[in-house]
Amino acid sequence: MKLLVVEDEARVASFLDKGLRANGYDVEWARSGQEALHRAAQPDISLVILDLGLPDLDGLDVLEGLRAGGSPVPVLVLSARGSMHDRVRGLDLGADDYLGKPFAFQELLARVRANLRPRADAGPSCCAPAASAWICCAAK
Amino acid sequence: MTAREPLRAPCSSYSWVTRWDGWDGALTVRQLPATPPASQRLAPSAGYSSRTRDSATWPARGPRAGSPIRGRCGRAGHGGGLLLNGRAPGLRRLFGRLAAMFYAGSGLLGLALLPLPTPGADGAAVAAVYATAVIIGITLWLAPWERWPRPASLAIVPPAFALIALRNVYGGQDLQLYGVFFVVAFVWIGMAHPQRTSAAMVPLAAAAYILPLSALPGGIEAGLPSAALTIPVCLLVGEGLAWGMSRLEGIELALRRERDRTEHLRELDEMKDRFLSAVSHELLTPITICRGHLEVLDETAGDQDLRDIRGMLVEELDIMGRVVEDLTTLARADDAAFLKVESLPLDRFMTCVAAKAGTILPGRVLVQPAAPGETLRADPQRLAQALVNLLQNAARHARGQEPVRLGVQAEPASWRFEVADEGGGLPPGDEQAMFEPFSTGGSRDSGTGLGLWIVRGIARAHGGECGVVNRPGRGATFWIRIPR
Repeated sequence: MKLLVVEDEARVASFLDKGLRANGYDVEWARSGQEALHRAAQPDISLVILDLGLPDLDGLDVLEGLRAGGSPVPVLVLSARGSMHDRVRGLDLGADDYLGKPFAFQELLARVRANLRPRADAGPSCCAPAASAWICCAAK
Repeated sequence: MTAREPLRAPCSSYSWVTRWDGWDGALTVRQLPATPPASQRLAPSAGYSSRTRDSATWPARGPRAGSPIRGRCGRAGHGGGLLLNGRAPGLRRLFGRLAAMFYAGSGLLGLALLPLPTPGADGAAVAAVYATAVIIGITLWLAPWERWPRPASLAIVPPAFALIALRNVYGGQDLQLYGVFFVVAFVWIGMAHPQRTSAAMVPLAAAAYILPLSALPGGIEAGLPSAALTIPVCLLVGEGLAWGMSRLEGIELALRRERDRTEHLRELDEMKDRFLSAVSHELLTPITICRGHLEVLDETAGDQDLRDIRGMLVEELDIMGRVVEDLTTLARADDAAFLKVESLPLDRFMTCVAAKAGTILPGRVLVQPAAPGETLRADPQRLAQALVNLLQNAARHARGQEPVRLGVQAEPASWRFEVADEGGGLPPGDEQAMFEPFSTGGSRDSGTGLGLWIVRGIARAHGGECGVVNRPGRGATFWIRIPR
């Protein structure tokens, strides 16, 4: 199961990569917002871990772009902007979860698991909205 | 009081108000202290272009983003001091119409009372006088008072006195009626004009009062006791009202000033919140890194892994230490004890800084030696710290082995220290943002983001300034100006 880590700070990305791999996930790293937008739309990504402070785009813009393109991929925002206002804004813009930095790695893992869990009310495992070229296979 | 001094200047005699927003006066004021308080220097400018790592944190994304300064005392485009002149036209119209009402009202009242028997009166002439007063009143109501300067409205006083005099010439021996219209005229003068105007009008009023008496039976002597009572009463009424109005004006200005001050404090409070949010963010990232790496550290990690992680943790703790140290420096910059100013030879100071520069940029600093015999008055350690910060900044951005130039130039009233690099310059428009806190130019390799902010704090503590001359595509010259 492949997770996309969108994080410009190499030292944060490196421990995320190490810890997630140690827990059986495949990890891909995107350093910029543009790279993230391109990569997150691929069907092999099961979950995106998104930092908000990126060098080119704001993380929330990435989130908006992703949702505007019809991508249903779960997005877990990971940010030092952890105020209530920021969390509400992130969730309203389409994030599935929001975790403030610094965080306990166990909690991150639990949230990743929760967001990857198949839901009883989930629709068909394959969807193809007519308005976009997006095709996803929720192979969870 | 120096910062508020501009308030006083426009409050001279004709400064009354500039825009009348009704009697309960929702007053819009634009006023700004000439020198922003020291605490404001900590705050980011409205135009700060966020380029920190978590770029949207500072300034905050969301409702508070954008210009932090949007208050009733709007700072944008102020001309210094209160805009009193902008409010005056409305009040000039108000008092002009008050004069029109007094004119027309007195005329109408006189006309209404004509049927009453008055011995010795020339009814037709008195009616003509009252009718003239009504016509003048209507004309004054329609006059463009806003366009006339306030003193010009005094021109309506002599015709009023003339009409009163004529009414008295033809009105018979009714001395009791004599003073009433003068009092009305002085009520208007007192309300619409500054103090001492009533006193200036007294001779005219006395002449208008006394001269018609000679046409009456009994002559001037018969009216003198009445004049001796009426004219001083008019003076008291006029000056009393003018004094009261000036007191009201003073209270109004004080209220407005308090309102501005409160608004200013609120803005500073918001800036402080945003600044604290940025500081906490700067510290949260190293904490996240340290915690994350320790949590995912495998118990079976090899020696090399452990060494790498230990090195990383020490570096991150160093970053946190530097942020705290820089903040402490800046927090002290407003204290009187921050600087230990002394007189020292300029050339020796530059030699010391050049030695430090050599360790920051080995073999790449071109130092322009200072002329011997010149004296610098500054805190050598703080000024050297500021120049070292500029050199470190140049070291981070200079390309390849391009040299960095360090020099000092004499200006008429100051010394101008310069650090010039060939690092490609800044993006146009970013020049001022460079001196704002946490403007690290996009990466953590660029230091704590507080270095140039400290440079500005040190320059200002010396009574000087700092800035940058940008040469886009080529390089940037950062400068510090210290008064001689």
